[in-house]
Amino acid sequence: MLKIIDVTKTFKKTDGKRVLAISNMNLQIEEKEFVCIVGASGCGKTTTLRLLSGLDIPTKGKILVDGSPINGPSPERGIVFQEYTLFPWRTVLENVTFGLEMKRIGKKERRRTARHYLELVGLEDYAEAYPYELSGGMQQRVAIIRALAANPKVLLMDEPFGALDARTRDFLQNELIRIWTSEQKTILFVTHSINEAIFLADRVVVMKSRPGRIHDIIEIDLPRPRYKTGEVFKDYYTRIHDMLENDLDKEQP
Amino acid sequence: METRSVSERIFFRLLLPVLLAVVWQVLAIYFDKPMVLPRLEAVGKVLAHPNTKILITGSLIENMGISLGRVMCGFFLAAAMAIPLGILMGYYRLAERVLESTVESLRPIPPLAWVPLILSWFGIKSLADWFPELSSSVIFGGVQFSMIIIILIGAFFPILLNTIHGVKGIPVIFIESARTLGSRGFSLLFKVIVPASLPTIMTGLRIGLGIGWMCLVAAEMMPGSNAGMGYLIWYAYELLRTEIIVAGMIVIGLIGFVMDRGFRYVEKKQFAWVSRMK
Ligand SMILES: Nc1ncnc2c1ncn2[C@@H]1O[C@H](COP(=O)(O)OP(=O)(O)OP(=O)(O)O)[C@@H](O)[C@H]1O
Ligand SMILES: [Mg+2]
Repeated sequence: MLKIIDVTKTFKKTDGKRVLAISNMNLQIEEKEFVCIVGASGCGKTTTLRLLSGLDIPTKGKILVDGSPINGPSPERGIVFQEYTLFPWRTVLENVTFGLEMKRIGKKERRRTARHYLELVGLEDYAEAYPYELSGGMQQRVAIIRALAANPKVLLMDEPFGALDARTRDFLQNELIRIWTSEQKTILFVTHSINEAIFLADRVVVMKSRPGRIHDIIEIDLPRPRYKTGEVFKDYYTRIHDMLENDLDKEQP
Repeated sequence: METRSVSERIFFRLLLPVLLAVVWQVLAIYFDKPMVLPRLEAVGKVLAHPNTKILITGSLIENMGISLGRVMCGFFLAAAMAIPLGILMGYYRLAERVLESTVESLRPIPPLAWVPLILSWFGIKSLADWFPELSSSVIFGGVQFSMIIIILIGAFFPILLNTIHGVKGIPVIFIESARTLGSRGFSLLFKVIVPASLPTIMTGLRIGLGIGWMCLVAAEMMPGSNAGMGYLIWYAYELLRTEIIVAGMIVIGLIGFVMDRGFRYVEKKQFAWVSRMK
């Protein structure tokens, strides 16, 4: 359903030099698939997500959604950024209803939908709170359901749990799998953590830097729920770890 | 840490004003020249009878009403022009490029420096000349066109600059999040850009109103003026009624203070999220 075809993206830096952020990338993501992207810092993960969201346009190549080229951002493809992006002037509930407001859905239904999602992540008691009254993990949960409430087909997530402590992270990983199973979304999830990728993904895309490109795609053939301590899990970890290790060695002598 | 009791705090707040008042009164009694230094009770008497006609200019309340009416007209016009323009200039690079040099070269001209030009353009025409039905109104009947423009100029720039600043300060990530949630055009403007910059716009409004108020009082001292707080104290000067001057000054200061506090109160109440954002 998502097709990245021969996509290249160059940025012009402020000093006038060009950076090749992504070079000749090809990737196809199927409906309801959970794909993770891992790779060294600066290898173009965020760039890939932003291109898919429509916030940026490829320099070369094209991106197709269900066969047609994308045309700017759309509520069909929700995005969760690594930074906290809840609107601080809106309550939690009003944040979650934002996408529904844009669709001109009636107030009653908006609130009902929002409450459903708040319950889904256990934050129904915080509906009337403001984002600054929430912890980082809570804010990120709200950001996720804010994207979900707009009912996107695809959810793009850029290291959404990056800033959280290990336990909150584990908890939210489980929650995300639960949501993914119940809501039937296609998810593209960027992370620094190999464990996180193997825990979540159907396929892990390993990227390399300079220029940013896909190095390998690894199918994770493990039944869910997965356990990070299992033998096979550890084998996957070693494989991906070695690939990333090489990337670092080569680029930073 | 504030550990003092309420009465103690009030004591320290009032200490200096009371001291100044005492010194004033002692000097006034000592020199005994009410035309230079009126006694406090004379000032108090003026303040205590806000409804009594003063000289030939109408009562304190009437003059206050006239001044406030003028300042509100000019202020709302300024806000109605400066906020949309500021949003345009803050959001669109092109608009900023086109307008910035003009704005920046007009801004340093003090509002009062416009007075002669404005008087020569509009004379002493008042709103009532344009809308005859207003002429019976005490407050709006005396609103002179030239004064509105002077207040408008005074209030305009702080509102404009703060609006531009507020819009430019919106983290891009808010706008991008909104766009990926399906927001664009007017919904982006009214649901993201305006609320996100509203706290800064409010600051601009508060400063603008303060400056507008100062400009007004000065403008009311200009030729053609026949009412208002500025006119009142100027007229009192011509008759050497210093107690009226001082009473008028106190009222002018109080009104400015109350307006400022009102805005600050709203800012604090409505925009609690601002101070909590990292
Ligand atoms: N707006 C931009 N202007 C200039 N260069 C950019 C811009 N955005 C990204 N780049 C460059 O493109 C490359 C890829 O950046 P990207 O943000 O996609 O990396 P990333 O894989 O997300 O890294 P990280 O894991 O650190 O978030 C980097 O070299 C970066 O400097
Ligand atoms: Mg990134």
